[in-house]
Amino acid sequence: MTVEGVNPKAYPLADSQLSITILDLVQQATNYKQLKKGANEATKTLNRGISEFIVMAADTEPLEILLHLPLLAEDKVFEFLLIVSLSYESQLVVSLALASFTGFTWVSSSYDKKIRLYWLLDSSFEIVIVDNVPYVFVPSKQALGRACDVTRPVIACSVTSNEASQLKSQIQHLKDAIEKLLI
Amino acid sequence: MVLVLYETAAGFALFKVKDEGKMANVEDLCKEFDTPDSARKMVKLKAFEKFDNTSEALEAVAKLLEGAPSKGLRKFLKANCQGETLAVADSKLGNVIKEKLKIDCIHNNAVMELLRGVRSQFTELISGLGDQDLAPMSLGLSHSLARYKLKFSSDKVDTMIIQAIGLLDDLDKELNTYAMRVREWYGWHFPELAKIISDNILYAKSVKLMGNRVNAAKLDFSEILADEIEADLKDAAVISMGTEVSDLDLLHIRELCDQVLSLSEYRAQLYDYLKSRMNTIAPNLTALVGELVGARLISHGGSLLNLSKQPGSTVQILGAEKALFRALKTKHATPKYGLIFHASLVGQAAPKHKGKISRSLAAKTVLAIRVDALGDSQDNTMGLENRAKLEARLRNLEGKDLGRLSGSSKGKPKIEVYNKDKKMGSGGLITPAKTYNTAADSLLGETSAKSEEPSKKKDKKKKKKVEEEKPEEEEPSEKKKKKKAEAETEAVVEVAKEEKKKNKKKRKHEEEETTETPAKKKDKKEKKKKSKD
Repeated sequence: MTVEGVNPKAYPLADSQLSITILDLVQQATNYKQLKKGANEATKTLNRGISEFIVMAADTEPLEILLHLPLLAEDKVFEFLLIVSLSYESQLVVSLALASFTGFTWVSSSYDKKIRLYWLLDSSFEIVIVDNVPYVFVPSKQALGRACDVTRPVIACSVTSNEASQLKSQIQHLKDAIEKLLI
Repeated sequence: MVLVLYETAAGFALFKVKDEGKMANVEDLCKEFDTPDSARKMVKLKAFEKFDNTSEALEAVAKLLEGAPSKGLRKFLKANCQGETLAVADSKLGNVIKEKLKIDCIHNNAVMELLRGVRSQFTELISGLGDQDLAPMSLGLSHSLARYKLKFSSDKVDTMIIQAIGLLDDLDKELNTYAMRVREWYGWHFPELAKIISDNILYAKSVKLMGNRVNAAKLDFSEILADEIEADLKDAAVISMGTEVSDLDLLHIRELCDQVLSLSEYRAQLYDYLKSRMNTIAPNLTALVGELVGARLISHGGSLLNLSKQPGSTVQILGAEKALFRALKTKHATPKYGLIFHASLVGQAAPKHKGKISRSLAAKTVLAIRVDALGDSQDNTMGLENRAKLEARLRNLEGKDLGRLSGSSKGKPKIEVYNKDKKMGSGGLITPAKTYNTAADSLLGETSAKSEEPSKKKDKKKKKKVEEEKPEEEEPSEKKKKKKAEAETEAVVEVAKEEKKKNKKKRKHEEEETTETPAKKKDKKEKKKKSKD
């Protein structure tokens, strides 16, 4: 989906209707203190894993100063090490062990995330949870600045997580709409 | 009739849309692909062209990424799509197909939704291809494509910079160690030479040429040293207090000098290489902070791409992690700079502005790094512009101090002038009081004269009243009434006048009290008593 005059690297680019929805939610996130403004602060939210989605301006010049955000958004990996001894008394451990031998990618229903298992030599597992952060481009950085309640243009911002927030359902709907642009 | 082009790792597929009316309703299109049966009712496979091998697949997909159809795709479309309308996922590809093959192409939201449905039910719509067959094909193709893409970015390899800067730092240490060893070793034989020649390279060249110090008088050092230093050297050689050395010792010292000279020569070559690589790989970063600082940042960050993913605050303190964590642990002030301290812009700043310039420089540096890592162009325009902005900011910070100093110096005379005005004012206040004092003295005489008059007037009034009473008893008339009224008004006026005079006296007394000394007050009181008597 390429619009004339827009940098082809600005992908996925939201159309006018979705842009309005995104900017409305960005403004509400500003009011609820759930917004980080600027490319550097957005980078920090991605590094800390507290970002719901990233909004970027497609008319940034040069656009490369925020193209690192898609790389970070797609690369967020939450790793932890689970030390488990092999025990025939536990079915779960046995099934995990079997899954690791076959290189099977197992989708856990409880976490609703992809889990990869790595078999380590000392009879322990390394479990890696992979979760991508959605990102989207909007046409205008001036409009994004106004939505963030800032007089200057804003090229990138990040809506942060808050489990008790009233925006939770709206954020989830918008994340689904953003991810639909990528497929 | 609408055909849908679907690209997979196994080959190209053409699907025929059976029910075109449902495509108008985009929102409900996904329901048509809930089950394999309903999907088969919606679309049907018309043609499929399989890739013969992985190289053909790689070629086709690489062309698709550039928005152009490969040769096989063109043949496939010519054979199957003449006179039909083709739905494509990429509008750029559609334009090219329309131009070259004269096939009408459409691309809209309905097409995207349709392709999503096909993707979700692809293994059911096509026979002979299952998930277990398609997955390794996709994986192999993606690996081949990644390798194919990486070939074009061999110039962007930053590992060479990391190794070069590491070697440069190691070379500096090694060179310094060897040079100090030469000085110490030859110092046994000719200790005065260390003070005469301070440069390590010149020292090594001199030692190599000279050998034993007794040869100094005969040799010509003009190519290596200045005339004055050469004369000093020859004078010192005659009276040196060093020990004698054998030819075997001198042989090894000369070998060490050769090592020092060759290492310094190689270091210069390595520095030139590093400059050229930095200008090729990171031109904007080089324009902002220089080759050495830029290379050290890339080395510390791991790679240029890793460095581009860091926020500005991290780049500011790269290289000062130990100080940062110590500060965080002990709750002291955190460091202001790390590797970036050695940039020329931070060096130019005054000590109290280094922190601000460091923060600004780190923010601009991060923008430059991102453009270098993620952009395609080789120019350093952005780096030069940002450097000019930072230099202007540095001048602005220094200019503020000058403004304040000049302001404070200007303020002092104004304060003095203001003080003078106060003094003038106080002087003015004193003078009228004195003059008024003299006037008050003259007025005291007048008041004593006036004090007698009211008593006389009172006597007259009494007589008038007595006279007036008599006519009333004898002859009441209008004229007499008028006179009474007039008399009354006159009395009122006189009373008012007297009150005014009394008030004036009080005022005079009050004013005199403020200025008179206690002695003067006593004198005046005595005068008043006399006047009363």
